[in-house]
Amino acid sequence: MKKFVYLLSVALLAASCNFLDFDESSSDYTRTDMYTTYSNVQKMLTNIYSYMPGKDIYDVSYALRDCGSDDAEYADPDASVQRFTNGNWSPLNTVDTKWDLYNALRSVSEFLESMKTVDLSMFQYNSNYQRWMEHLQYYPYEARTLRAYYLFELARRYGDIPMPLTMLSVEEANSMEKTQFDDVIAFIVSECTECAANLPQTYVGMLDDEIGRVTKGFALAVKAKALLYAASPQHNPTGDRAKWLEAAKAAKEIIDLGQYRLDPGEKANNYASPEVIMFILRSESSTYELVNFPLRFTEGQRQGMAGTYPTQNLVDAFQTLGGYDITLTAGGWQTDDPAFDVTKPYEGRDPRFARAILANGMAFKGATIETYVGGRDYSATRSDLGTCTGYYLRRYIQESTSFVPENIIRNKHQWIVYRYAEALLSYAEAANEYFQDPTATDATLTLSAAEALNQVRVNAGMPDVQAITYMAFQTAVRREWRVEFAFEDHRFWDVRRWNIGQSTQGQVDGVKIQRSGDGFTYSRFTVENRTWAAKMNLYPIPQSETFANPNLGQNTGW
Amino acid sequence: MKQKVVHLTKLAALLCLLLGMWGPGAYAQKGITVKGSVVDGDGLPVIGAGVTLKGTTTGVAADMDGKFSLTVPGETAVLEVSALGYMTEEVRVGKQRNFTVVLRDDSQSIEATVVVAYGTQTKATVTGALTTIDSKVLVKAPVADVTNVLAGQMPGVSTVQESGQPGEDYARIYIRGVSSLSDDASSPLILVDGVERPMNTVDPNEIESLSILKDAASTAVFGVRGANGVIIITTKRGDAGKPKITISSITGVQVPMSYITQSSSYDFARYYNVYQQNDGKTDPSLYFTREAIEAYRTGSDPIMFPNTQWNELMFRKAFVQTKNNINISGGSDKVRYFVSMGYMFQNGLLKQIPSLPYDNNYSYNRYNYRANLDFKLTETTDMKFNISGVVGDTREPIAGADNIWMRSMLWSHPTASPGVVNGNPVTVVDTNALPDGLTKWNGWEYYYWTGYQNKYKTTLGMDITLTQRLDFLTQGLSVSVRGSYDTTMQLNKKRTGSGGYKQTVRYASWANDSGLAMSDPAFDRTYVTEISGSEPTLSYSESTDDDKSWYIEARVDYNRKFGGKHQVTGLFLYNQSRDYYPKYYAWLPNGYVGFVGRATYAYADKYMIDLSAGYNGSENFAPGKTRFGLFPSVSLGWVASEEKFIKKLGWIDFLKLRASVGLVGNDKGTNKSRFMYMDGVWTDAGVYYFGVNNTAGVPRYALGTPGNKGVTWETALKYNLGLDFDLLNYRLHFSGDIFKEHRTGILISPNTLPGVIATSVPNMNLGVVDNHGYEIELGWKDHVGNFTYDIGANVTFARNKIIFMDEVKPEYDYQAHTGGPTGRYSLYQFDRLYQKSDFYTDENGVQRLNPDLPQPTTTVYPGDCHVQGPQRR
Repeated sequence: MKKFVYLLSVALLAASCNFLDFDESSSDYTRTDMYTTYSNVQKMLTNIYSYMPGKDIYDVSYALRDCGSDDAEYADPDASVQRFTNGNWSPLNTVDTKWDLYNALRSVSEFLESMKTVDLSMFQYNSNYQRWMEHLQYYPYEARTLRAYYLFELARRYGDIPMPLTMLSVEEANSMEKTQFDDVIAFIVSECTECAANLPQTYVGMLDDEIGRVTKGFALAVKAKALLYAASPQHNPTGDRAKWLEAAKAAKEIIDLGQYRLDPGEKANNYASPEVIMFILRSESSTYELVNFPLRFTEGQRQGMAGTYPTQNLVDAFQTLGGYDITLTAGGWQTDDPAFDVTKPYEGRDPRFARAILANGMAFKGATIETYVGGRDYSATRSDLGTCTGYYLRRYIQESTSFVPENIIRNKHQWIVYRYAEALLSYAEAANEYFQDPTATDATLTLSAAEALNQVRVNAGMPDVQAITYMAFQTAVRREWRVEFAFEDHRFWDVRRWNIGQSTQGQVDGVKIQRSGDGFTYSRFTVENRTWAAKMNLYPIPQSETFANPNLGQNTGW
Repeated sequence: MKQKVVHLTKLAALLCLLLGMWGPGAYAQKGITVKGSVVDGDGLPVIGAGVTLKGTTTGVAADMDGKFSLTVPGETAVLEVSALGYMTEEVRVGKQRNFTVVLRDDSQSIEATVVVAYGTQTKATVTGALTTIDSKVLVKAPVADVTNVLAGQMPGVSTVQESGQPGEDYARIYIRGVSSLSDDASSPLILVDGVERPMNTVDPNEIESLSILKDAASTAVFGVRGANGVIIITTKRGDAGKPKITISSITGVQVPMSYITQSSSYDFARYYNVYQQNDGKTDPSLYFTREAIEAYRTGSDPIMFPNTQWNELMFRKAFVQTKNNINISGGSDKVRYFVSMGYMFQNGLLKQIPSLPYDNNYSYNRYNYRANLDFKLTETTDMKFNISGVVGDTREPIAGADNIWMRSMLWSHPTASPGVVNGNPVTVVDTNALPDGLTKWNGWEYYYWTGYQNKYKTTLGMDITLTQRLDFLTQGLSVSVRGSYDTTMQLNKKRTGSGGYKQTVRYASWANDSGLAMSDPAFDRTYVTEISGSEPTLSYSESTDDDKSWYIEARVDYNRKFGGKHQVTGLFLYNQSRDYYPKYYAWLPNGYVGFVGRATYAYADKYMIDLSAGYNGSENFAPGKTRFGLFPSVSLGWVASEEKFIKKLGWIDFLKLRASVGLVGNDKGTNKSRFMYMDGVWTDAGVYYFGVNNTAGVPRYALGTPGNKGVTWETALKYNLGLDFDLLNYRLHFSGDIFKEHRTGILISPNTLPGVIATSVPNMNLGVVDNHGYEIELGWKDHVGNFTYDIGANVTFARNKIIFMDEVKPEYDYQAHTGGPTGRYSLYQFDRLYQKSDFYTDENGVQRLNPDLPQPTTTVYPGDCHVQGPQRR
């Protein structure tokens, strides 16, 4: 009996001392851990940066997003990017939803909340403490600017969007209402205005010289971009000129900053360019080249179809050096430029042509591109893996990249999010729309639309625009957007904000080049007929989302 | 308390009876002499069975053949036939002079005891739903794993065997179907000698009894772990007496039920060409030439144009399995023992390739041992000590077993190899006659030239129980404590290597690039073989794994009958257990604490009430409100056959009605992500680049799944109604149950959250599943002369229905899982094959699908599958 009493008491004692409580040490970081050291706080902010929508090929099945516009065709007919153009796009069959940006927004909310309590004073005698604190003061503004930018990326896809500014509970997420597009823009503008006032112009000179962070310039850029979209016909159907004024003023703020200037050299992949306001920096990689190099330079590494191939539609947008239009017809090249030699159609063109596109006869990696019928870079059918338009992509291609097995070379890429030329073209477009006159100025908008545009053209080595009427200038500035920013993720969005899909997105063409004697003959052919509908100005909201939250509703037409 | 004894040899009965009951003393008397034999339910003689004249001490013992002869006073005399372990039979002499008396195992008697949760009960007074299996059945079935014996033996138990690999052929067990949303959360709790242990640690020969507890009244005491039913296995123990030796040995051959029959090379070649034609190729470019097809048809050259049935080439027609066990039991008043040793071997079905010196065939060797000891320490103190273990050795080819039929049978081509030629396997038949384009899949490549691995697994279990009877305090009171410690060690030895000789075979005229056509008379058809591959060396690697767990329990029992009519029992029990998986952090130890209370009352064995409750805590749940749960149950029983008005009828031997209701829990939903109640953690999620020339990759940390402070067990509210009866002198037995279950709080990940919540969400106790069904067991037992027979059938029906699983409303209602049973798949429904008439040829000569048909995004050809659209059901 004694034994029993003893054992029972031992057993019950064991139970009372919290036998079931967790008593294993953990190697994971709790929230407290993440906000007590500088390097961990930095990791939390870095996490927010990592959601930057790519300008490269990873967002949409190894294609540039422009393959969904009339600028390019993607070789693989079954790739998801084709949904933009083949009529299969739907709430069930989505592409490029970027719904993960909501994860970024939640991270921002969490970060801003936690930053209020960050206290690193225990490290005050650490040698880097002062330099940490210098960075740390900008952290909340970097996060808020990124949030504004992410909201813009969502709003330009979906129009009205849910705009969570706190960490949502399950109940809140389930009943979230959409915020009107204009209200989203208003929020972006107010956030960027406040952040711009508190952010540095550059981080060079601070700890680690961190290019690629959000600066004052980028905060202003997000604001300018948001206002430009808000003023554009898609979101401004009544043509409210006040919206254009706001857009022009915002662009002028960047111009007036004096921090950036046009760069006559190559901006892509050039972290040192004085023109670029925001970069996405990436580590060494050759994937972009692998899917976009002319096939013979990939040493058989490219398996299956890939490749963003520029269309004749885009090539026609590049003028002659003399500033004349030039187009390809079924019967050959047509131009009024008396100085232009149509037997050498890729020479004597806008210098930006050669930076964006690789065409027949151009030098590349010590060889000459041959896209004529029977040439080494010619593809008879799509399944040959080569070009289906007669052109190869040049923008962002690192020519020194090599797939030769004994000499593998990979390069870093720096993708442009915003550069100074965009501020100038935004200003040119907005000022022309506001004044309805490309040459007009006033006390606020002291620069005329034509002057702004011509700065960009002159920098590129092109003559001034001749257009002096409002409508002719509108055409000129829209062409300039297409040419200056080819394959920098603009055309896809511009056809939407200008409401011009119906007239531009129906068909993409290529060039067929036949050898004849020493020269070539050129003819235009249709690569693909495409589907366009007005509803495509906005993305469809994924069906899983509209089912989960009936308050979302679906965008018109989808 | 009565022990159930099962006779494996009749020797045992003889010993017991000679020692116990029967001395010499039967003598002849005037009257009628009757003869007869005494047999058991299996028709075997019951040696030493006592045959007495009722009401006297006159009697004899049956001899070695179970025969007896006795002189009785007259035809009105009644013979009473009895033996230990059997129910006593009474036979009126009448006109008959020669009798065959069949004694029924007393496990069928209503006085027999059955094992229930934390104890035993007489069958008659059981009020919950439980089933036991005759331990003889466990030994008879020629299967390797105990779990497979259960299939079809008992109502309410279903098993699913997923593999036939030696050593891996255990079955998953479900009791009363699946009641939760996942398989993991639907598996029953298995207890061996009161401790949670895998079932395959026990040799069937060691099992004394196996009970399946099904309703809430039977399992509520297990609290958070009882929801899916409980299987209780009790191992054998020794009886006082001389050593009793039992030897069993079964050797047999296993034969695969069926193989997939492959098409012949001739058919394969022709259909392959048809497929190519459908895809737009024309005659000269077809893969198989006319000559090749002709060669396949005639079989004129079985080496270059083979016709191989891969199952014949790779698999044996039959393979050996053997099961052996020896056990010895016996003891004295003070010490009793049961010692058992077993060996089992199962061979696999792979044939060996002569050029590979190692054996990669599947096989399984199992050695198991057990010693169960009982000590009587004092007149009132008992101690039980059990030690048992299993050593398993599994061998398998490296490539793994899961896709054996799929990979090697479905994918391999009859044209790919003639098999072994001149001692070496042919892996490439280089027929220049056939252009490139078809990779000839060779069934061998998946299992050979890869190596093999051996898995050694050792399990050791120990438990000790100390019981003190406290009758000196009050009659029927006892206390006991129990502790156990189990360990498992596993060593995997991997021998990997792609070495081994193979050969390519071709015709001489192709080998020397003569350029001759096969039809040319000068074409040389001599075989040229080329050895490829390397010496078959194997690399060595090993990995280990271990697992340990302990369990302690302390209990107070009370069992007393007052005034001959009022039977009262009580139980209070405390237990605590922990299971360690020290290998991975994610597998942290699992701990449980439980308090159990039970009280039963029976009046005159007629009316029974049983109240029980488990108060259990699981480490999976947060301290405070959600950790512990109370799981009560109540059950009632009425043995109607004890009522006078039923007894009067005469033909009803036994009739009982049972009803129970109770609440049971399940904490298994959290197995894969323990400590869900703790806050989410941040982990490394890669880098993002800053800095001039992006030199500095800055690490970024992202939040994993946040915690769910409210996580708790799922609960099942279960109802059960049962009816048992035996009629016609116990020849007809019926047992039936209907049950209903409402399970709530099943842990699932919420599905209807919109993406804007922007975080993964922890699992929540949201799911609701209803289950209902019935079980019927019907048996008939009788004998014709010496031939006894026993027919049994059981039926189980269980149907569940998902009431809530937080499902996003699908596009079409029929696609919803909610409202249907669990575990359904969403698949496309085959409609038809595309026909030639579905296509037209366009101006470029390209075959295109008719425009009035739905246009798939990929190119289709005649012969491709057409699936039904979503609009149709």
